Amino acid sequence: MLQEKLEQFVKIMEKQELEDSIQDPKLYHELFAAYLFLDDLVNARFLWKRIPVAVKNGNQELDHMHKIFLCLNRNDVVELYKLLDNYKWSKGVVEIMYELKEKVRMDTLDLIGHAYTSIFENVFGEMTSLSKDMIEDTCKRLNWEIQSGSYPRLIFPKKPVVEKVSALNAEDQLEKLTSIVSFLEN
Amino acid sequence: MASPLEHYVNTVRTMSAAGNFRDLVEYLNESVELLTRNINILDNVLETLDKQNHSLGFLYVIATKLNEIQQNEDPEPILKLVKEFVTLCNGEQVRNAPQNYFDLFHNYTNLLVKRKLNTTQGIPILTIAIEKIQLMESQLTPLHADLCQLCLCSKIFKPALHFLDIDITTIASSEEHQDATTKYFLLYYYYGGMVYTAVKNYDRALYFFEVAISTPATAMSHIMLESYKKYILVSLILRGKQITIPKYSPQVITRFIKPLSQHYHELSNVYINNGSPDAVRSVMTKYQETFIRDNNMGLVKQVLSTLYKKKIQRLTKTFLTLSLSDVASRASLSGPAEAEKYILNMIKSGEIFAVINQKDGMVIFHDDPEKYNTPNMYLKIQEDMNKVIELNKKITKMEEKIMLTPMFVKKSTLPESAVDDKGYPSEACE
Repeated sequence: MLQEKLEQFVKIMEKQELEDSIQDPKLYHELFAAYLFLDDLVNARFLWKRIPVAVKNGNQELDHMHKIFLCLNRNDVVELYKLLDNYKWSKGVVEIMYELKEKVRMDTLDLIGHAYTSIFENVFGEMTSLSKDMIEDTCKRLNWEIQSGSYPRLIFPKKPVVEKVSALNAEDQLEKLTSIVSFLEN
Repeated sequence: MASPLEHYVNTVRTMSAAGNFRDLVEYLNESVELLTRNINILDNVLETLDKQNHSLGFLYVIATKLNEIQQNEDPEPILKLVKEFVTLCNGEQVRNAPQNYFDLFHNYTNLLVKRKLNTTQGIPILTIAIEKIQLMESQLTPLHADLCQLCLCSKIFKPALHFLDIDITTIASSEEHQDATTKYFLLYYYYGGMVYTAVKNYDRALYFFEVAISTPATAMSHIMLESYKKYILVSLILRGKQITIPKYSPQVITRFIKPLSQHYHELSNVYINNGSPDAVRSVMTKYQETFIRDNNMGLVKQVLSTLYKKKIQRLTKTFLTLSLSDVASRASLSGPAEAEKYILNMIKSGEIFAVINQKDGMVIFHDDPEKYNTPNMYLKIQEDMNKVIELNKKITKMEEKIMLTPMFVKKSTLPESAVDDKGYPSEACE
């Protein structure tokens, strides 16, 4: 939902910027936030370079967003959560920033599932910004085993199962395959 | 209004109304001098012409105005005129004088860039200008290069990517200005490569630089040299090695380009053979001046940062499991924590396939899990196949076209004795 809304918004803003530059500085905040949420770091970087110095100077919120951009760029999620939590975001971006945190957390959980066979509880907590109880809940939900013992306990993540969806029916596939083979043979 | 200009207006009006564009262009070409001489009163002429109905006449006037603009003159009025012209002009009419049309926008771009004006305003204008003159969307025009340049100056890349992503199949050129066409062809691939590098689409960037350096030439252009420098750096970033330039590149390139880019070669040699970050860093400092002067320092820094990744990637080929501290020492990283961070990032971006075991501080490397048996892979193959089929069709068509040219027919039907051992007509017959 938010994803699509932001994609639309970005499109409109990009068009507006081309046609008669962005007048309201607040829109830079929203556009920058949108790029961050969409994980469009390339465009975020160049937007940062494009924002007029007059707008950037002394603008704490934009400065904070830029720090977040740098964290995303080097995958420093621990610092990222801190930055997201320790700032009072303005009305236009607060929702995006909240969702960004959730998204990063989901992505990180997915990554942990792929990249770790075992991970210590404290590292897991830092990477997902979850409290002890929430860690247990999350692991239970994902069916990840927690080894009992003293702190920090070990967690054994499992690879998320990717659902296979077939978009084509067999007849279609066969037909296309035939045309490809006939091209190669001739 | 002076009477020769009145005559100009009248001729433009009558000939445009009659649709006699070819003669009109001839007349206009002869009138350039007249227009230049009366530069101060051209605004009066513009008032009497309609941008849509008299596009050609209008084009010549604003082209002259833009060409003759003075250093201290306010550029706003002419910029506004170009903007109005491009939205209203008749594509069919201006296609009769393509070179003047191209020159107008080349000068327009130059004006924006040289005077350090707001280059963003030029992007939509060049976009329209290209779309108006193009016969099909896969046709390259000299204006593509200008658009890319404006996008680079404004740091806005989407409008350029829209054009860059389309593979070129034909080139719009005007016969009498072949040199200019070549320049803008090279510039398009050079700027295009830079745009792709900026958005980190290195694969495509490498291809663009490759086209620039493998374009047939009898003398080396500076654009080619600069493309070559970037080609070396991008190939290090993308592949971790230096790719040899294609065999079909012009000889003059292979001979002269290397001595002219010594410093870059040294960097790539150290990167590939020595592989220690310190050695690469020392080359960087040694030739810092060159890299900064060439505006390539940013890329050079990226080359250095990929070095660690390349080392880790190489480890995956040798080892099945390795402790994190071993990874750190073999990839010249500071310690196991940094190694873990690198590996995690590389797993995320799909550069390696591995799992980390924090319990024992080990990392287990896997092979690529792609088994090429999913519907998505099938779709991808299908897409690629369609491209190949299309390409094949195009080549067949081009071949047929060549077979039908009188020159080819003449040479290929010569008696066998008149052909030398390479299949070319021997000198006696030419």
